[in-house]
Amino acid sequence: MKKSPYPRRLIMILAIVTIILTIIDVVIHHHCGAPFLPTFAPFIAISLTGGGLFILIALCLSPLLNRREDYYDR
Amino acid sequence: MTANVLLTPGLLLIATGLLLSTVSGWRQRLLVLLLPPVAMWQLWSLTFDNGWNAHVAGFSLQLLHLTSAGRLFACAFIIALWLGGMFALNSASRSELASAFVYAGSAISVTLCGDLISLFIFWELMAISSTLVIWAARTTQSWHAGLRYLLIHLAGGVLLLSGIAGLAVGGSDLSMGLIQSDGLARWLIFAGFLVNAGAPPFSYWIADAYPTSSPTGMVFLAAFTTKTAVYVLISYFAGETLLIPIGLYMAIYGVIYALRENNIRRILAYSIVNQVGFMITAVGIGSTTAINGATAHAFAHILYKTVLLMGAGSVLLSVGKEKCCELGQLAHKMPWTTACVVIGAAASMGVPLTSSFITKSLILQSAAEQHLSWVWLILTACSAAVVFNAGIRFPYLTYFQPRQSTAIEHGRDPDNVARLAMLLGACLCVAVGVFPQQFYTLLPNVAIYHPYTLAHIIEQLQLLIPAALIFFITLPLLTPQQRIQLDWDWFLRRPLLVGWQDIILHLFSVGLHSRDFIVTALIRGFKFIFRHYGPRGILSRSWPTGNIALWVAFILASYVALYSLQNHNFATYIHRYIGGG
Repeated sequence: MKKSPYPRRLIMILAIVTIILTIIDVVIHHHCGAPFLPTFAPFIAISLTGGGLFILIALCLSPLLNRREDYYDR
Repeated sequence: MTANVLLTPGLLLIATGLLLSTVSGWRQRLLVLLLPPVAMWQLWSLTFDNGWNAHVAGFSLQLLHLTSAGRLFACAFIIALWLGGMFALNSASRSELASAFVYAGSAISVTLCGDLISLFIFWELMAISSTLVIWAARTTQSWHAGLRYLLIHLAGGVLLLSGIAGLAVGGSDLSMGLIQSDGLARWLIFAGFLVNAGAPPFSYWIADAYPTSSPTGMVFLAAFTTKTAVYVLISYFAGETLLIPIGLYMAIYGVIYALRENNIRRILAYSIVNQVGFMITAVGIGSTTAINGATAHAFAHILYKTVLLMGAGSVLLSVGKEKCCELGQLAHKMPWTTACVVIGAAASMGVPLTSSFITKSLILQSAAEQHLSWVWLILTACSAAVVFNAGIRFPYLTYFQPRQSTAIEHGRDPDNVARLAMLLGACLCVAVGVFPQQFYTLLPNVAIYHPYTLAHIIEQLQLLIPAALIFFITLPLLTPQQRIQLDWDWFLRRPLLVGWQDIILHLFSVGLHSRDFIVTALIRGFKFIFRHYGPRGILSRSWPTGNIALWVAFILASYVALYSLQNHNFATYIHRYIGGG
């Protein structure tokens, strides 16, 4: 598999939009379903933390779960 | 109206499926293109007063029992069948189209019937016809996966039938409604439904069986089985709290497994589990908003998943590859497909103005209304993580990443009819999102929701954009590899299978040893008999009369001696009168 070039420009755009969305939270009032979360930018926190956690779990489970494609045929 | 009652939309499509197995050419095209709209007209011309009862073996079967939720599910099934039929028209085999129509007809009949026995009949018909759709790919892989799929679904059917029999024996009502009994029968029915929903530990069958079907077959498969399970859970188990952890597990499972998956159709299969997890959780919450959310999201999911799978099927049909590590940069070669897939992917993520934006929010709102904070939190995180499967990962790796092989040179959009099917599907995804209030009027419970508030739009973007950012930052860590991922089926396919084979081998070995022992004993017995009674045997020779007399005297004397040793009186007599003299 060829290495995908790092989509730097896309990442920059997404990072800028994320920052803008975080700043918007100063004026937007949310109704958050979990009262224990911070009142400022809770959805960004959920997205970043949750997403990071899912990726971390997937990477940790990878050695345990990944096998060669002919695993069940052997 | 009489015609409507005589033949329900489900039975009409089952009859069409049987007819399709015998016709080809323009007749086949006509049936595939026209019958789903006819079934749709029939469905919407039915009223809630319509009913059709049949009496079989002392049971009253309600083959037609219209509910709001059932009608919406049936409507989504008919749309999926129609779009899938159009997409498959020029590439699918006759057997696949026929099986798909029977499959869809059975699924629609499940949503329109009013008792458990009718449900069971259509449930099993669905299992068999869907297996035929998988086998229609005619590959060794699809054959084996189809067998595993059939095994699981027949086992689920046995659980369901046992539960129904238990309810019937207990004198409980078998007609549609929440099951009041709390005995074993209720839990057997519950387990039977969950097997079809892809609940743990049986979530694997979706990713195992569906991607082995033909490029067009998976479009049908993704629409019906899991969603009928959601419908029956709404009808019979709404508010069952055990469904909440089950649904959450499915939502998380789908995200994590899709992250490391290489096969594009398997990514979408894991995405199905992920989204059905949302619906199952909502059924478990059981409030009015939650049931509306589960129904609405099932409808939206059927639409956008049909579009995404048509996109994946188009790639497989034209390029012949379905692994991310062999695809890339197909957007230039397949512009129509890419556009439709992008719309479908946006709908899957819940981008504003698409279907999922107005449906998934109902499920999240229901969790918040019931003060289920952790449920809301996990579902919100999983909602953001859709980016990691159907949302961005599938379209990016298939259509936008740098070219991974020369095979993509053959990439081209499908034929006009298939392209039209994808476009219609994409338009429907947008239409549902653009006209939410019209869509909400079709939901089972009357309620007012306002999805297009500034706060909600911002919240959704705050979920999706950072998740997309994380996805692209971690892209090098998640490079697709030519690997499979182990699942719970490992226990069935490795230790249990090996154990079973060992038991069989041991039994076979014991059988062989027993057979050898018996045969050897018989041969020895025959040899013994032959040696003594055969032509040269000792007992068949001629003996002189004197020898015979001597032997007779000897045997008689031996007998007397033995008898005397055993007989105490005789020994006493000899001792007294002869020995004692």
